[in-house]
Amino acid sequence: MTKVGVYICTCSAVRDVIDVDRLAEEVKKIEGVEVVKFIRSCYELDEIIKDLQEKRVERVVIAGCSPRYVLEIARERITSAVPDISPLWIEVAPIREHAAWAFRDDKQRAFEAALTYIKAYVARVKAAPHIPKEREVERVRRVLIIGGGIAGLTAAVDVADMGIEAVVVEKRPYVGGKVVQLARYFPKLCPPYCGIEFILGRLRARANPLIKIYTNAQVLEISGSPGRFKARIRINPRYVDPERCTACGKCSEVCPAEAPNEFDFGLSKRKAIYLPHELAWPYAHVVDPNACLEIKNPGSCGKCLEVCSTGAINLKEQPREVEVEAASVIVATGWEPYDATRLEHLGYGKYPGVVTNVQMERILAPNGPTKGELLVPGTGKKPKKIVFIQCAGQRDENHLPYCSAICCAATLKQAITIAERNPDVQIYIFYIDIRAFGLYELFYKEASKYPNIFFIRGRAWRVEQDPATGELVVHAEDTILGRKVVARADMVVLAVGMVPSLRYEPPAWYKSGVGRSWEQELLKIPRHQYFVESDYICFPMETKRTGVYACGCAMWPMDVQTAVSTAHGAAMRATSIVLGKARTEYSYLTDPNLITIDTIKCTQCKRCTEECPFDVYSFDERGYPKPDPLKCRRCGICVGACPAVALSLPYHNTDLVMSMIKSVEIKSDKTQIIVFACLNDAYPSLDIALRKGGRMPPEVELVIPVPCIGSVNMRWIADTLSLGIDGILLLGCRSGEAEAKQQCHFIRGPDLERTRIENLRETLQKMMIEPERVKLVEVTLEDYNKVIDVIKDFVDFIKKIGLNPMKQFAGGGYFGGGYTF
Amino acid sequence: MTTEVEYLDITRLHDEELYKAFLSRYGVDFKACMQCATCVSVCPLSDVCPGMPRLDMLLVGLGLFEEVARRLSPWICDQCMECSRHCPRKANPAKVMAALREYLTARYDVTGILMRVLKSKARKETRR
Repeated sequence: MTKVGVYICTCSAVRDVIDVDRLAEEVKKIEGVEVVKFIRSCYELDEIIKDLQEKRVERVVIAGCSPRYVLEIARERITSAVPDISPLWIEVAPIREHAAWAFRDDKQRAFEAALTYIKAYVARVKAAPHIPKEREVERVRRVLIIGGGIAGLTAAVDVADMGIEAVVVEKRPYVGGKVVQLARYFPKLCPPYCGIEFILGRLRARANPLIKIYTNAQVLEISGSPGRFKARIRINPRYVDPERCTACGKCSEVCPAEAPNEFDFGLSKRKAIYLPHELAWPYAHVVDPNACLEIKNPGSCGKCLEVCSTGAINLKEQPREVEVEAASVIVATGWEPYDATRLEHLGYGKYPGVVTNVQMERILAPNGPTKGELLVPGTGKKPKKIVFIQCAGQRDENHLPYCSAICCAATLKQAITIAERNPDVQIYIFYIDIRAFGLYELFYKEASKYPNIFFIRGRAWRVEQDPATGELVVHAEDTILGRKVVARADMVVLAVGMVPSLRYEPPAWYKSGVGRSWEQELLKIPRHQYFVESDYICFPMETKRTGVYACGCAMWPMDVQTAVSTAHGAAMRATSIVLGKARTEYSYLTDPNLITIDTIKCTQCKRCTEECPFDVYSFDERGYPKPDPLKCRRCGICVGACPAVALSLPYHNTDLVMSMIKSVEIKSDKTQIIVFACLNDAYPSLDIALRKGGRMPPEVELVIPVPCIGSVNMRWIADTLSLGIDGILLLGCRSGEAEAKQQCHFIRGPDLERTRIENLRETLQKMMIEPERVKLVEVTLEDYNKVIDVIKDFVDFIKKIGLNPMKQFAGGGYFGGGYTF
Repeated sequence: MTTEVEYLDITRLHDEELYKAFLSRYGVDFKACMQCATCVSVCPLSDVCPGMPRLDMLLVGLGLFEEVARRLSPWICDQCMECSRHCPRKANPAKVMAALREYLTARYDVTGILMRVLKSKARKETRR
């Protein structure tokens, strides 16, 4: 027999409304309650600790204010003093908010409510399992970083600075990503090589033994859990040993094979053996196996082998695989420019004078195809007039429905660069809006003051060639003048948008996942557009996969400085897996709340794997779902999903919730309502509403906090109704999985719950219960002025329906109620 | 070509010579105009001539002096300076309006007499 101690707070808020002495008398009668004491405030825990240490009580219910204020503090202090007690054996019954304040006009009802809450929490605390305070997790001191661009490299340097090993996997033969292809940074107009040189200085092997870089490599698969992920990496052959190659360039001189140079976005050609660029790291040549004659046809060439004085070239090199263990993963996969060939109406690919903005970067770069000289590709002439077309595909449902964020500033940078180098060239910029956010506005103003830069507000919709003059004619409407305009130019630059690299080449690891693979999720959620992110305002670096963090343009289109900032953030989060707590919404790495499966009840229906938002589940050898506790965020959506109620979290399960509900005394002549409220939004909202003087309708018996509204199981609802409760109100967050306005931190809790309630209708009808007795209402934290009205409306509605027909069975032992549990 | 009839060909109509002369005399500050239309809101005469002085700023900024010449606004501008006072980018529209009137006066004043009258000392004194 467990001994429960109830400690009633006698602060004036409670005492003014509730007769605490009479309450104590009543509480003493509850089964299992051994000790009832008064405390002056909920934080006065010394008495409780003493009682626990002297074994007078085993479990504790503090009857006082909302658990939001007290519960975590009480659990932390008490478990520190009494180590063998489970944190779940300490509960807080909110008699101040939900009894004293909720019924402050009706002392009798307030008294009853206080008793109901204490009874419910005593029942809950008796049903709670023992869990340790913390649990040990094995963590590897290594972080895997996918992508070696500016974001990935910054993260790697940060991780190494904290004394943790960083492994960078870069698919290209050099690091630096897109940044090294840029001509200048905006708004400082400085060379990107300058910043890269700093990073390279920190990377160079001897200076930093903690950083390991695999170039020409790709991640094939990521398995395992946070703390110990296993990544399979394929390293494609470089055919040149970077440790022996001196980058003297003799091999390139003799190489007969040529291929388009991807570094210049196809504007120039390079040899089959080539140095990617001047500051390439590793500073070594590389062989393109698709262009090399010797690799395609052994014995046909081999000239480079003859001239190489160090014998660095080995054309017979084979791909190899390595396996890396890492505590966390940073996704810094970056971006690709939008495929401009899809913009037929803008003449890309049709007229050589039409280039993209990334090609323009190369034209302006001193190491570009024209050595920085402004020349029209194809003709090789100097242009007199240049037209920039903004939003070439962006903000367009047919191409990219989002704003690419940087193209306006990039175009301003290119225009200024051209204008100051060539004062005689006229530059026309066709734009919808110039989105020069923050201090870039000053940059915009600076650009607009150049005499040869002109802005035309209108979306260019067609580019054609004047057959008489050979000029490119850009058609648009000037929305300021309200007239159709044409501009004639020798060169047209399309400001194409950023597309996440993951969209063009979804890697293999991206497709993994039992229920919903990452790729599948992004396809279903149009807002994401293949960008990696979860709750993009509150937890931007967190992805939906615990232990996997994102930074740079893999998150959303961003400029270099934001990419670097997010890289610092992601490194911080990734190292917290190695060194710290690595908190997510309700969980942390050493969280002892582990989800368990009752394999006797489990029917292997796979609902949990389908509904879990965080890809926690895989299957064990017998086909039962196998959760990974380290990935789990304790939202309890699977607990709510399981049709066989086989899943349970220690702090949120059938025993706890149903014991609370069953402790409510069923009254045959009175309407009784139970409210489930989301712990993060609806419950605080109610707390605020009651503090501000909101009066709860007397029909509300219990408000039960749940981690997510999606964690409420339909069996609990059916059973509660069969017990004789007249109505159940669920207060969840704002839904809308596919839209930006969705607020649920577990992405789709309310959406899932709504579907489940819809599916429950038939069952309820069979039980002769009106399905309308269950209702889900979306409440956000700021709705504290409305939430009481929501409850009142529901109560009025239930009163109109009438009493639950199940009431007459007094405790509902017949239709599943006491039967299931 | 038919397009020239239908559309405003902003590159062909750009009067480079005049534009450069205008810039060298009045500076580039007026190019900072971002077409926010604060000037139109505060201009007491914008009811008479819609878009004044915003459209004039735009057309001069693009070097389309032929288009400006068709407008009434340079002639009726009072130089009350309200637009310049309120311009969020300090592009000084009133200065542009004054400059336009000066240019247009010179353009239609074939003999040069009117210009002389305008600039005469006697007139300046009477204005005072």
